Amino acid sequence: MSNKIPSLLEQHLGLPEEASLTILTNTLGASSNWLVLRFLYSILQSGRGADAGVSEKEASPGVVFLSFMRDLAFWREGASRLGLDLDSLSRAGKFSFVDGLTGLLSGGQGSESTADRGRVLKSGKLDDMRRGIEAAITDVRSGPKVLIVDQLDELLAIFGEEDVTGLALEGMLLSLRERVHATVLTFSVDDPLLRSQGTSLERSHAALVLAQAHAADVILSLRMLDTGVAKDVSGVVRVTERDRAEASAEYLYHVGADGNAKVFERGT
Amino acid sequence: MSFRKRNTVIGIAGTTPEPHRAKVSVPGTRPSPHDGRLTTSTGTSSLDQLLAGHAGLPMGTSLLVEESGTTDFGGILLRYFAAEGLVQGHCVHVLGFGDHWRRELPGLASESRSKDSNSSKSSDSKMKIAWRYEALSSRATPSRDSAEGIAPFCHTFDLSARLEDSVAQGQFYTTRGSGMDPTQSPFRRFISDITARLKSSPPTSIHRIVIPSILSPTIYPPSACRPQEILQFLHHIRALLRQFPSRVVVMMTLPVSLYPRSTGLVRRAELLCDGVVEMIPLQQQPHHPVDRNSSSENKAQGLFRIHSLPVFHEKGGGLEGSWVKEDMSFKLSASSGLIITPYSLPPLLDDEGPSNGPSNESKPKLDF
Repeated sequence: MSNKIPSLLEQHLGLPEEASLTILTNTLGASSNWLVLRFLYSILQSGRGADAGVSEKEASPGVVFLSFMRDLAFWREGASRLGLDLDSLSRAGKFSFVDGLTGLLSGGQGSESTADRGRVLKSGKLDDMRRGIEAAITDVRSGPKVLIVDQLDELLAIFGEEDVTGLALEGMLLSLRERVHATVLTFSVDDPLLRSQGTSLERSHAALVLAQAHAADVILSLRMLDTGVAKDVSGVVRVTERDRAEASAEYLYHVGADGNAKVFERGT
Repeated sequence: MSFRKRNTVIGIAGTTPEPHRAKVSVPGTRPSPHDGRLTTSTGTSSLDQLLAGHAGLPMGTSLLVEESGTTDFGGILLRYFAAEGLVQGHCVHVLGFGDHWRRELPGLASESRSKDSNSSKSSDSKMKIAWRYEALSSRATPSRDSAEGIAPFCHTFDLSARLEDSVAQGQFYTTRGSGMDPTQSPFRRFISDITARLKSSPPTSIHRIVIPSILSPTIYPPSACRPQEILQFLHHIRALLRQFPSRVVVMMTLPVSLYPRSTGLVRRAELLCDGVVEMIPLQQQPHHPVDRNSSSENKAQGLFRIHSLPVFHEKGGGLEGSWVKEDMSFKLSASSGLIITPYSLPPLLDDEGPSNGPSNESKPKLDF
């Protein structure tokens, strides 16, 4: 288990504390997908370990996973490389996938539960979406539930001002957070999206991301190497904790051809 | 009876290899040497080689080509992409242009001529280029010969010829950008057209979606440039790609002089596309016409930058050494198409020695 989770990040990737908010940020070229998969793995696997050990009597944790940019097939493939079978986990009521990509703009109503694509959101209306996600939360029957939302900012960007306001989105997020044990969000934090804030697209994105970042307990941010591209380094991961400033650190990471991720300190 | 029984067992076991075999038999596709996923050619073999070890554009992915300035190298890239699709019998869907775009597609280069030019060029360069640059020039045209071998995965096109209907086996569909009906967005119409054709076509057919200079004001109405309009369209395209992962590929160009990369809109569009490359044309001296072939042949016409690659960046990394962000350059010639090579300044002595030498010698002679 320990070789699949990079040891330097192990303490941040386990089951988060109750009511905590963890944020993973990515940029173009430094995607957070591998880190999300590691998160999924360590949460779902920690439960399995606890089942084997006699000391922990608590029910194993489950995950509700909402993705706006990627479909279940992509995550399934990545998870299977880590030895995680998402299909059997979802049958066991430990995992529930909500697809916010393939059906979101089809103009339908509510959400639809499919076998191979998870629960597909059919409409971009916040109320419909909330109902779909809440149904997915009740699908997970095991103990503490972790809600992972991949690229919530995408939702804000494609619907913009009229349909989905940043405030309403934050409201929905809060009400969803009340119903789960902990929340993990991923955001794109590319410079052009945050710095100039000249258009309403950029302003609403910055408002959402900055508000969530300030509320977060832990932020793991990924970016490209500042000095260019190296063969054995994919990027930089920076860990920021709100309560423990001394725990903040910056490491390099490398994702290999086989999907193995290595995290190491600079200069080693 | 026993034969039948055995057959059912084999049938269950055989369900996995059978779609695999069917996939391979679709013309114009081949499994990636890296991870076996289905890929198809972009029509430009040097671009195929750049795509993170897959030696082709993986099916179910999109490639965004950004271009600054007023040149249209990206448009040429798309024409090769479309022509390759038509020759392979794929369905090609074009947004924004009418049927005249079809008539601008490059024709197939005749085999003998392309081979002749190849061999003569290689012997030429052997004579001219110093030995340490020889390796570079062989890297410049990677596996061109192997691509032209038994199964043509990527054809060679001739820009000076036009694609004839006899070789174009695929269907060609267009959707005009600013149509007769201004109330309906061209994007929605395009999406509904494609979805209908995808559903009505056989499950082995391959569809190439070509979107030349998206958001260019000459083609699209002002309403299309609203961020939500274009981002929803790209989200929709991404959804289509994921719903039909083995049947659709997308290539589009975006004029970044009009929509700079420093804006949030373009960055969001880049995040929605699987691969992003940028072409930066270099300033050409207009007073040096084409006749100085010898020196202009080695000159790069522009820089080629890779910002992200399909599959590779989605996973966060991948094959070692398959993606090195060195400076790339491209040059276009009518017969051999667009060639992307590592950027290197031409050896000064070789280039300018012979051309400057005589003029320098002759000038003082005239003066005296």
